[in-house]
Amino acid sequence: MLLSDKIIFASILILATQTTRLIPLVFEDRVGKLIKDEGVKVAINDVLFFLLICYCFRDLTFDREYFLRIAVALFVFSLQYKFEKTLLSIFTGTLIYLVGRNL
Amino acid sequence: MPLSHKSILKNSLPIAFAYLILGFTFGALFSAKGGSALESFLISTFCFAGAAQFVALEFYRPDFSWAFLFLTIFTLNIRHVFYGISFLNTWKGPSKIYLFMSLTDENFGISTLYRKHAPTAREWLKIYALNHSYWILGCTLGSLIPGEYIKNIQGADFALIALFMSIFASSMKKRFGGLRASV
Repeated sequence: MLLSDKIIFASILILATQTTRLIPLVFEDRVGKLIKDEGVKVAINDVLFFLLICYCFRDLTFDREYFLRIAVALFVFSLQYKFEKTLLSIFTGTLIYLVGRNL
Repeated sequence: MPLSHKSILKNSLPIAFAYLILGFTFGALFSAKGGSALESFLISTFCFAGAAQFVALEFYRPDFSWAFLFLTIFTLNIRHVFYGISFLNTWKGPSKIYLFMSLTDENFGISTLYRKHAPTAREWLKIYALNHSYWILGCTLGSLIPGEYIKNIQGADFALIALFMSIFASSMKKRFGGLRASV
């Protein structure tokens, strides 16, 4: 690739990404008034989190690794729900996943 | 109560774990496609988007379509608009622009851990900048090391899914835990 191609590639990548992140600031006054209520913010947060988790499992396949990922993710959810020790849940889950993946 | 550096560092550990490994992988793939460490550093600094950077690798060739690259990355990242909306009225001051520009999936996720502490703009800046530095370090180092080392550490990025699941579990417990007790 020529230097000019590389510069254009990086610029478009940065522009496309940062546009999506800065759009909310353009409509800050109008949208900001609508979501001042803390309950609405928490609800938006929960919905986005649920979508984020779905996004993590978007590559639906029927292989062993995919089922292992779902099983360990559910285990992490249960562990956190029961004990509320975030780091413990994350590292236990990751360790089980890594061991299971290499078996 | 102000957030201590220790607690910021502790909460950033899952992100560090995942970002360094994902960043390494990106850097190695980028280097295999002919990208340099400097490019990897600049892209990870100013773009700071995991999935988008990986998808963009497919376009890293002389005959790439500008419009298609823009549309693909914009569509992929459209969810960030909603992350930003949930933070309107939260961030004020000069650091606001940087915070919005760094609102990745992972930073959005970790922000939930801090919301109850109501961090100051300076504290938010420290949290996001620390996570950003892990990503830059991972991407830059990854483009400098041979690709075969990456295979040995693949799978550790599950830490990000585990982070999202545990934050979601805490949120659900807050929402439904009290309800079950009252029933």
